[in-house]
Amino acid sequence: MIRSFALAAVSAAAVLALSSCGQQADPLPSSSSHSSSSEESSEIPDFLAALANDGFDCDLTQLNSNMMYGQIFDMVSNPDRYTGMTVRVTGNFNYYKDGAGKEYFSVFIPDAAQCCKQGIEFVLNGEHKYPDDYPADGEEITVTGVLNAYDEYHVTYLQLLDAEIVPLVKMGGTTNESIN
Amino acid sequence: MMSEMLSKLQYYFTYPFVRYAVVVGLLIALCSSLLGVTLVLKRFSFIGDGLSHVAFGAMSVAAVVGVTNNMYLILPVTVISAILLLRTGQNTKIKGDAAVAMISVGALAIGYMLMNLFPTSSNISADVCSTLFGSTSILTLKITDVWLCIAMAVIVIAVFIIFYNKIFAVTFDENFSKATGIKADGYNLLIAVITAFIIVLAMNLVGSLLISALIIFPALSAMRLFRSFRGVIICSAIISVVCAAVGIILSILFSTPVGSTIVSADIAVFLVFWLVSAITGRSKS
Repeated sequence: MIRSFALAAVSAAAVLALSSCGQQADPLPSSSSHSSSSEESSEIPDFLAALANDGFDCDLTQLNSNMMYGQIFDMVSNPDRYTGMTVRVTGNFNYYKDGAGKEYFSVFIPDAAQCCKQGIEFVLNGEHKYPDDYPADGEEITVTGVLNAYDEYHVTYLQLLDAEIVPLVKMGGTTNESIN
Repeated sequence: MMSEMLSKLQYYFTYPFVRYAVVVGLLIALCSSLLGVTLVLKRFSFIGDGLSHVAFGAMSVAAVVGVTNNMYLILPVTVISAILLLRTGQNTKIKGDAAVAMISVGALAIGYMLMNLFPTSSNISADVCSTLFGSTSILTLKITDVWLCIAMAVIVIAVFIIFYNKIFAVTFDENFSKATGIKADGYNLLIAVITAFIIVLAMNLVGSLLISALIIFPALSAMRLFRSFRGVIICSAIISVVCAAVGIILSILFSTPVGSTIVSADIAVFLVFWLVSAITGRSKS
């Protein structure tokens, strides 16, 4: 009797686990789905309020690389939560030109193991020409701008509009040197 | 200094993904330590590594074929491999350790080759690194991952408690347990299936490096000081959970790789327990 009850409980848990497996690979949350639980959304204000610093809604330079990596992943997963915010971020400059000749400028944030990277694309305010007006590839930079998200081939990308490359702010929030 | 670190930690804990990482990390540590004692005693310490490489190979195939949810391919392949290794390993021409090594490196090689021949992502090295070392994927969990992990932990703990006596018998003397009427093959199958589930789950969350260490180190550390099966299991579970908690917190505070920080904590505890057992002579008793 006890064993049957236990087996039934285990089977129920297995079904729950497998149904969760199915949900795991669902596409990233869209604007209509708006996150997976109410408890998640109720906790937004705490850490978002703490990220406001130095006139920016979301100052990612306050975080270390592990936390910044996790935070940017959250931004990609829940772009509606962050769209329109002023953001400051430090990372490595990256330039990419696709087959159609479109240029992408982004700041890459590596994780602690230095093998995974999260990137935020940026579009500088005003007219700028590569490479004259941009840093060297891989150079550590701090970029500010207004966050926007767009979908391309079912992938969500983040970009900073009206962006500006500002004096370098090391992770932790200390102004060190000017690159411009 | 300490108060600064505490306030920093308090701030980081306001992030949902940090709380998810801690919950999932501790549950995986607990489950793998329970299984770890059985696997180490059955001389299958390396099975975590082997099966996670099998899962890596299956993941590559799923990516190449274009399966929407790769879990539908990874899980069955890993479960079948675990059954083949754990259930029939002792009766085949290729014995346990050789079979694990063969499947492990074979699946790794095929998986890596497929990822290079049919790349589905522009960053192959990052994909491989993330799968093998977990990287910071534990900081990118969603609430569905947490529920999946809680459900799996309930299954593993329930099975372990319900079938504790049978698992004990099968672990120590399979032939004797068969002679006394215990369906040893059935329990080996159960252990194999649970092992595969835990490894697939943990590999997706924290990487194959971490799951191997979580299986081996807590069990071996506990065996330095305790002689009974129950004592070893309880001590192993405590060591595993404490090391996972310390490792995750340190990696969040000091921005170190999560998986290797937890493994470093496990190694430190093993050295301490080995030293204590050497001083007190408990391992010889």
